[in-house]
Amino acid sequence: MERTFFLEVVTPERTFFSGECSSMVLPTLDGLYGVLAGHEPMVTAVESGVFKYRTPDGMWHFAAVGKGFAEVMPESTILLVTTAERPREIDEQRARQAMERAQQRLHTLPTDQQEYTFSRAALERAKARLEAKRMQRKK
Amino acid sequence: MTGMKEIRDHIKSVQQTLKITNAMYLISSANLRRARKQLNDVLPYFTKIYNAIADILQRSPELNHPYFDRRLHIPREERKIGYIILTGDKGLAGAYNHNVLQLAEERMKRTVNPRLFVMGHVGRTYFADQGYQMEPSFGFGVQDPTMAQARTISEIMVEKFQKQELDEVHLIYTEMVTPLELRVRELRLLPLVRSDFPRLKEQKGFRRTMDYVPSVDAVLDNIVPGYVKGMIFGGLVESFCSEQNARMTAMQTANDNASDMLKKLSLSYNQARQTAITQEITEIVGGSGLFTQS
Repeated sequence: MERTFFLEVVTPERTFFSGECSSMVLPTLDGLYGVLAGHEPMVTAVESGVFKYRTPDGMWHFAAVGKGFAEVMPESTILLVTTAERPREIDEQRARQAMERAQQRLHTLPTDQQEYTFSRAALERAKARLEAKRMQRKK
Repeated sequence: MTGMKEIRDHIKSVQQTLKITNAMYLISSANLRRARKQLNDVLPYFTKIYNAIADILQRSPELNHPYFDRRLHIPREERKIGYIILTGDKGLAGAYNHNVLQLAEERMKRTVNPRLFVMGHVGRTYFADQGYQMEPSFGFGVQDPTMAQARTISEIMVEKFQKQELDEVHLIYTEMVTPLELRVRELRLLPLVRSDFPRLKEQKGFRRTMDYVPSVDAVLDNIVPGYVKGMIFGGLVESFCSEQNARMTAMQTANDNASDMLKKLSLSYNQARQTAITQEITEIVGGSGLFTQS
């Protein structure tokens, strides 16, 4: 039997997931970060991207997550993010349109710093959604 | 004795008012149910993010992060303190708006340089009447709080804090302790101060040390805006819940009063009617007596 740990994924709107899991991969500031049971205590910042976790039945699950952070303990992990969506909840067409819009805005070289960061964040979110969708299909 | 017509008119007007208060009662109870659900959904996030920051504070005593900078070198007279004040869009909610405004007013008196970020119509008109300067372009509604709204507000506040346009950011909102007890609370959003957070109990046996990936600063950079956003959203939802609750209670009282009044009025209406009939009979009997006598 594989060792498992208790995973909770919480967003302001709902508790996205709560249950045992055996492995997970987080999108962090410097790339993907894998966590297994018995991990040393750690706190890390989470970027928007694709988060995946494996439940004890061996299934990998994907989710597009927004910014946030994760608190990892040997026996349990809490992931607090602004948004979390399952691939089937994602509207692919809308995400693609959002991506194109954001890219266009970035192409016109916004001078306003705030607009730049905003477009940038929108682009990242849309990319994460499409990526989650793609990975789910590939599986 | 008042005339029958006057009493009838009075009864009618009370009945009209009762209809309105009853409708308002039903509306706010429906809103409350929805807001309660939202509150229950947001609460886990709220408490977890709060605990996580308390946890970090406890484990890393030495923090030199801009979000923790209390800017103590700035004297009291020059400190720019921003207050986000959450009031309702409408009155008729008992003491709900009054309590918020009272606390806000008290805080204004204590600070030399307050910056007001008022949400809700009642508060805005009140402070405008009092001649306070309010931040323009802060026209957010308080009905049906959304996460997107909370995000916009927190981005504005965090940016103002970073640019030193504000040295402190406070949130004044109403907390629903129990459905019967509403309490106005003031919460410091920025800077984060250690004493604002509870000391968590140390786990027995070993002292856990925590790693921060990639660094404490990077983690805090990510967590703190989320925390501010979460707190603002929580405050919005709590306030909305409280407002609906206060209105429900106020309307309930109004309904009860109206029913009492109707009871009394219909009694005096009947009395007046009785008197009128008796008088009429007496007159007729008196009149007919005249004929029989002659």
